[in-house]
Amino acid sequence: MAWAAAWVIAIPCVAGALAFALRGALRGLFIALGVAGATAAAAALVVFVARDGARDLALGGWLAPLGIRLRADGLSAFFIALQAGVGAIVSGYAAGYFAGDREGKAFWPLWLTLWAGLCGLYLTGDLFNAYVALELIGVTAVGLVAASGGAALVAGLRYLIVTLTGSLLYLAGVALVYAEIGAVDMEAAAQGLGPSPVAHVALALMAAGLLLKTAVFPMHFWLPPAHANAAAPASAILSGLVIKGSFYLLVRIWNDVFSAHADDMLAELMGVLGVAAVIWGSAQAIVAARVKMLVAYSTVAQVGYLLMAFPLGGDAWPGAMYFAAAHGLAKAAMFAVAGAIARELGHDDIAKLGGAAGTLPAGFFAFALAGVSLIGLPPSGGFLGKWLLLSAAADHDHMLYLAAIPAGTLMAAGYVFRVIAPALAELRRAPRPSPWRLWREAPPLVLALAALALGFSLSPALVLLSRGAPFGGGG
Amino acid sequence: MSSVEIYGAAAALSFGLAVYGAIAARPVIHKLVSLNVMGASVFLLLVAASARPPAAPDPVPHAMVITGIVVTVAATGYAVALIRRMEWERGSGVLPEDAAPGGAASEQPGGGGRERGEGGAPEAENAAEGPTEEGRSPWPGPPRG
Repeated sequence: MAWAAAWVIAIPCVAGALAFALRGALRGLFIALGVAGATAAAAALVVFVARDGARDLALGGWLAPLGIRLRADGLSAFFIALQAGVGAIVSGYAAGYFAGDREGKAFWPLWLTLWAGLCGLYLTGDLFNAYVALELIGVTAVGLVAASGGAALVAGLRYLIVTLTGSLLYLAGVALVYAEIGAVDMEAAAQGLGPSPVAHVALALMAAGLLLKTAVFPMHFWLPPAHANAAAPASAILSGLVIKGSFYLLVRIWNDVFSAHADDMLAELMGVLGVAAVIWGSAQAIVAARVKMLVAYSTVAQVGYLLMAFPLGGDAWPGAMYFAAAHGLAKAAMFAVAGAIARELGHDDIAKLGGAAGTLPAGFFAFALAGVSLIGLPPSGGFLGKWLLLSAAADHDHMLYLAAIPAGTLMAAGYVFRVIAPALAELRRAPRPSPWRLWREAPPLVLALAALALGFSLSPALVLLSRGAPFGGGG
Repeated sequence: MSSVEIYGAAAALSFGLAVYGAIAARPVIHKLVSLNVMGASVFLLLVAASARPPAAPDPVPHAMVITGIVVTVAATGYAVALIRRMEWERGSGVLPEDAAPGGAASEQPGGGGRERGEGGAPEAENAAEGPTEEGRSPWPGPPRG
């Protein structure tokens, strides 16, 4: 158990360094080994947590006040499963996408290091260590955007400024927690923080920084250009996985550290921002001119649903987590298809998509299946996530969320069909499909099928999420 | 007012000013320096919080500050590299969204991007060193390979 938690972080970290240092076939071998090893370690960790419950690991034998704890509970294991599942498939897609392309040189070291950073964030039991993981994630994610040059470079630079601002806001909160209780261990902070104004200010600062990094409306301005201009595998990673990192940390500190300070007003504010994000992001997706821009704005919208868990509480928490996983799979699939469209057609203009499904039949099938989950049609992970959110809203008579979730669902259907409908009209076959076409279509299809399969695996996921009772209550 | 409170108030003040700078400043370098001031404010707060008079100060926040400085230096170097690359590619040190309408730093459609914006102040001194193929740009090109 303990070794699995350490390997989950160490393997991608070492593989990332080797991918930077080595050349040629050896490099490819170590990248493949790194992805396989990190996925296997993640699977082992998830199995251990599901079987034995939450576990602590004191690194090097140093205990809590001085040492930095790793802690794996159901919530950590759930996000690590998402990271490894989406990560492994997107890695396969990236191998095909970057084949014979110099742009891929920068991709692998950054992506593997990002993988290590995200797993470190999911496993850390220490507020300051979480800051270090956030910075690692931010810097590598910016690199993935900026590596494409041109418009992506500018978007990456803006993303870097935003992500550093978010990290420093979070760090200011950590400093206040330390000033108050003299510890940054999450468990110690949860027990030590009394009903003082300092704790409220710390929570507000940390929440502001993390909401900025999660691209919550109206702090989403940096996301669409960054995600839409990056290379397709990088976009899939950024929208599917990176956004979830800062969201996870917010959920973690909200429930585990500041449970006594998270007042209703802040929760309601976050819920209202979520509703605004759903409406605004969906509206922007409906008018977007490019497929990648449409998919990026859809991320802005989908993040809104995640935020509704804060005011709803209770069953809405596992619902939002489930929704996050379904979104990770579906969104990675959509960006992967968008990349395949751009590579096969040479553009991703929605106005010129007519008949494109003849060129990329499996790709558009994957896009439609991912759309099923994104819209929230049964059977899919997106449907179950929305169902849990809706039933929590009904239990508490929250009319705002009861109205916003179906409205967002309708708008999501609108923007998904904007891509599907023209592509199916007047089917044309490509004169010469590129040799990499199948390799670019198969991974998104697997991702989209996985998003649908989530529609049948709610109960094991709920059991896993309850390990260690991350949301309070029994488990 | 104890010294801890004075340091804490100074940290809060400079943090607030730096947040304003990071949002309102137009040149990206200005934003980056503001972020550095934000970081320094947090470090000041941490060091102030470590005071436990009359006992010796708590060493743990100092270790955190050291870690934070390493992270900040690395991120700053990275940002400077990206900013130089952007100045080389676009000839402007201002993000397009921040450029004043019709101002010197605004985007020139149709390949006018080599013109210096207001972020390229040092050009007058060392323009002669610039690579001739890049016209007036004083910056080295992007790394090869």
